[in-house]
Amino acid sequence: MIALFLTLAVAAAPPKGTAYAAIADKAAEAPDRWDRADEILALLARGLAVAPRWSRVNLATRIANFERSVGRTAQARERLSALAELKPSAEQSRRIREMLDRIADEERARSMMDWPEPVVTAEQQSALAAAEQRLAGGDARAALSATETLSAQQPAWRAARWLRARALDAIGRVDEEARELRILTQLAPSHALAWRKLGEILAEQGGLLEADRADAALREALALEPSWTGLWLLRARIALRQGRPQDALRALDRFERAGGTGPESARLVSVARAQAGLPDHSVAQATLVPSREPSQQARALFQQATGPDAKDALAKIIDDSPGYIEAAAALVAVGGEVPEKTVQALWSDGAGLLELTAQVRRAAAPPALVMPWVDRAVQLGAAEAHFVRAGLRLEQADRGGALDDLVAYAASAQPQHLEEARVLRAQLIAPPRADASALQARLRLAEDRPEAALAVLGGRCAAETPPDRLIELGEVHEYSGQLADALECYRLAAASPEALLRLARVAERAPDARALAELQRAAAQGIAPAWWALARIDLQRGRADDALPRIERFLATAAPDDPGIADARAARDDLLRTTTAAAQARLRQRAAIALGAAALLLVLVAWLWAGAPLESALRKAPRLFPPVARAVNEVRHDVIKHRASVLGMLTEPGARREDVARALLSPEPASQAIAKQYEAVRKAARAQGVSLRRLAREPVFGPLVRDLARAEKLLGVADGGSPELARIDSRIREQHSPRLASLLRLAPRTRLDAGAISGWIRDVEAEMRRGGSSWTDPSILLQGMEVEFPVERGALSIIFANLLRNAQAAAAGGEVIVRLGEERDAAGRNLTVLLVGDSAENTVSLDAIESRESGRGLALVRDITREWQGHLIVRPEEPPWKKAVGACFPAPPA
Amino acid sequence: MEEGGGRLLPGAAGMRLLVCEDGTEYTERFRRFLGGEFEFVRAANFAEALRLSPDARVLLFDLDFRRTDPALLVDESGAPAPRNAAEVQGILILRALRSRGVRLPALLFADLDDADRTTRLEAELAPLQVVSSSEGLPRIAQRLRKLSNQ
Repeated sequence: MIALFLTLAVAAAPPKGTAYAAIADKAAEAPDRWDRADEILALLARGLAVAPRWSRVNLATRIANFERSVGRTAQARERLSALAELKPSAEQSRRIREMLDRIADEERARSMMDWPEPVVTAEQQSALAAAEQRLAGGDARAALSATETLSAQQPAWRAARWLRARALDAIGRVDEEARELRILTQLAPSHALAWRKLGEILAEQGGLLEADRADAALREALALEPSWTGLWLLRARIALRQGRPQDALRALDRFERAGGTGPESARLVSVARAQAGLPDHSVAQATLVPSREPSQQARALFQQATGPDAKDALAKIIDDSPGYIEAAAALVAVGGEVPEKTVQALWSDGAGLLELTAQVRRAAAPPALVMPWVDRAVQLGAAEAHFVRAGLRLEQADRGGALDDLVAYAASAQPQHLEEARVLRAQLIAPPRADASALQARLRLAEDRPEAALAVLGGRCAAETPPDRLIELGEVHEYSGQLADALECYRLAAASPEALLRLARVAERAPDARALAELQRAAAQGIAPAWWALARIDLQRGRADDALPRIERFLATAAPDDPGIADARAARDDLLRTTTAAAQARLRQRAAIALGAAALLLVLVAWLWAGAPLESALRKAPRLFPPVARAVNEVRHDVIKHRASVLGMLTEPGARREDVARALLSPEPASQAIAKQYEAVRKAARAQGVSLRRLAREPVFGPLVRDLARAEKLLGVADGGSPELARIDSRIREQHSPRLASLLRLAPRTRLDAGAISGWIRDVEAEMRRGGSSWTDPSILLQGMEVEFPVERGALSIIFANLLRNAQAAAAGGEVIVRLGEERDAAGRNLTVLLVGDSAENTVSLDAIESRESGRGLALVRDITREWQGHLIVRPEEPPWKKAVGACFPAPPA
Repeated sequence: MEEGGGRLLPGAAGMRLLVCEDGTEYTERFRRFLGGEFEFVRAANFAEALRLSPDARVLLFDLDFRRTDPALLVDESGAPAPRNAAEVQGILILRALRSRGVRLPALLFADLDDADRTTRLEAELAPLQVVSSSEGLPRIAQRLRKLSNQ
């Protein structure tokens, strides 16, 4: 709009020379200068025409600047070169040189632009997609085959070449891959991945010979993608290999400033330092020049082919050596035509045809003459054929064909005249309207001059800076290791997906909570580095639990070459180790607690279950029976018979609950009464060295006490619990009472037969004789073969011995009889009886025995008999005996 | 002798039951829970039992009389018996009563292990029912009602 306004203004009132200069300056910055370039240039040309001589240099310089601003650098350079005729002043010369430098710089920057993409068909696109799938599926050979076809059809199609390079990589054909990548970077200098891969291959496979190219490729890759920090390490290795330790140290410094760490970096630093001061290595390169030698005879004739006969001589030479290009060219030079033989001889030699073309063209041959040969050379795939043909076509005004050839040439391996091809391209296609500053910045970065790149781009990031410029500035900051500045630039441009991606990549190396929102957004969009960046922020904040799933997410989704993978794995391992250690500590703590609890439980169990139940205790210690029997009888009589038997009355219509409760609870709760009985048994058992189980765990007394205690508790409440009380009543009668009765059946059994009695008698006899007492052999009356007593043998023997001693003493040499047998009481119950009779006249009564003090004789018999649930008997005996004293016991059940 | 102190229900008059025991546990229990239906009179020995039996409808006996003065113990004929008769005094008193023509239905509270002997004893001293000491009071009440209605 500005330009249009100025044009109109000039048309209305033609300005003076200085005004044209101002117009040129303004127009050079006008946004629509591209569209109105011709119009403005025409105006400025008029101005130049009318300008006084003294101001022409100045105006021409401004016009050249305008031409530069619209990409017409060739015109600008030509205009400036022509100013030398006007003898500019020193100051003007300086400005002209600056302008020339600026133009050269822009041209160089523009040379880094990608070549135009060819127009590919839908079928070719489909074929490429299919090949891509094959490669992804592991069939690299099929993918390679497909891409070879596609590249042959569309040599400048970079997507096909990129796929081809990856296919070659997959099958290990590294040299061919490098060649493919070279072509790709020629076609698309902005293809960062291609540069990177090329650099890696050259660095790793190319040895010292390829070190420079490897470094250059890596430099380009880093300029395009500064986040590939690992490439700095590679560059450092290359520098070391080339004996450039200072460069290596600088690369390593960049690596560290870009957030990189690791043992390899440290190792390289160490190597670089050690190497510092060593002489640089020199790289020797040898170039083999192919030769196309004629025969010796032809060479000799060619030396002599001068003068008027030269034409004939040359014809002969051609006959001898049809491929002798110098001879053919000389023939043309002397007015002849290119022999068909020569063309035929070289028809399969692309390089030869091109050489022939060059020499014939030097002999002023028209383009049309050589064009078929060049076409053939192109057909044969000769190295420089496309470039040569592009020149010919341009000469023939075939601009489209020339451009096609240039593109094809750029797509060839190792083009020797690529720079010239770029110059030619500038003549064929309109310069792009894009601002060259981004390219210039890239150029500066490739020169490792980040400060200059920043200056080109305008310095600092601000909210009002356009997103593209923010990204470019961020890249420069990133390149120079100023990650915080880079992050800020990307954050300001975060609305752009590219900025968001770059922000995530920077943040994973230099996490910053200020970019949290952007990182969360990036993570939500599936940008893997954002997960690692968020995890690192979590770790900084000590939130390991939040960090771990984010690290896992990152590792699951990150590209294999993501620089954060190693650190993320290490962080994950650390977290897991920490978690595992904590878990192990918790486990140990729990184990200790469990062990303690188990020990406590064991102690509790031992405490509860310590000792023997009554049943087994009675078997082990028969002398325990008397206290057990006493307790059982007491419980049966007091509790079972008189107190617990009223429980069932709760269901009777006239019965009162408080009466039932009183029966069970007064004078003391029945459960406590039983507990006392049992405690008495335990005490007696302890006295005999037997430990009885605690009441709660005793199989007979324990459940009875529990039931009674429960009944007492239920009866303590106003009402309710009748069904449970009925069940308890039932259990008392049907379970507890029989269990108690069963204990009484565990009395020890001592069987006495004649032999046993005789033995006991002999013992008493010996004792009495030792004491000088009189002795009468007693008669023995044994009912049946033997009699079984529910008394422990020792106790029974004491009873017997005392009875016998008493009888012997009373008989005083008279008759003594021992009776053992069974009889029934009034209730029909069986009793076992042990009686010792004597013939003494004196009488003895039970009352008399009852009144005796304990300790000896019949008093001892009385006490022991009663202890074992028996009773004394005194009976008259048939003559010659008078009476008998003895003990009877309930007969053990059969 | 102790007279029953329970308050009789209407229509219960005349239903006197004689409880023969060396203590008071049975009597007190019966009076407390069954006093509304029956009148319980306690006899501590044979002599009291013999004296009170004419007014009783049912006789109830404990088996063991160890707490009784040995001088009051009797044998099956009612004659004085040695102190070891205390263990089966209930049966001995009943026998003595039967020998004197007392044919009242009787309950004997005793744990006799042998069922055959129990049956024989019930037949010998009929009408007699031997009741386990663990028998619940409601069952005993049922027996009493049945016996008193006979």
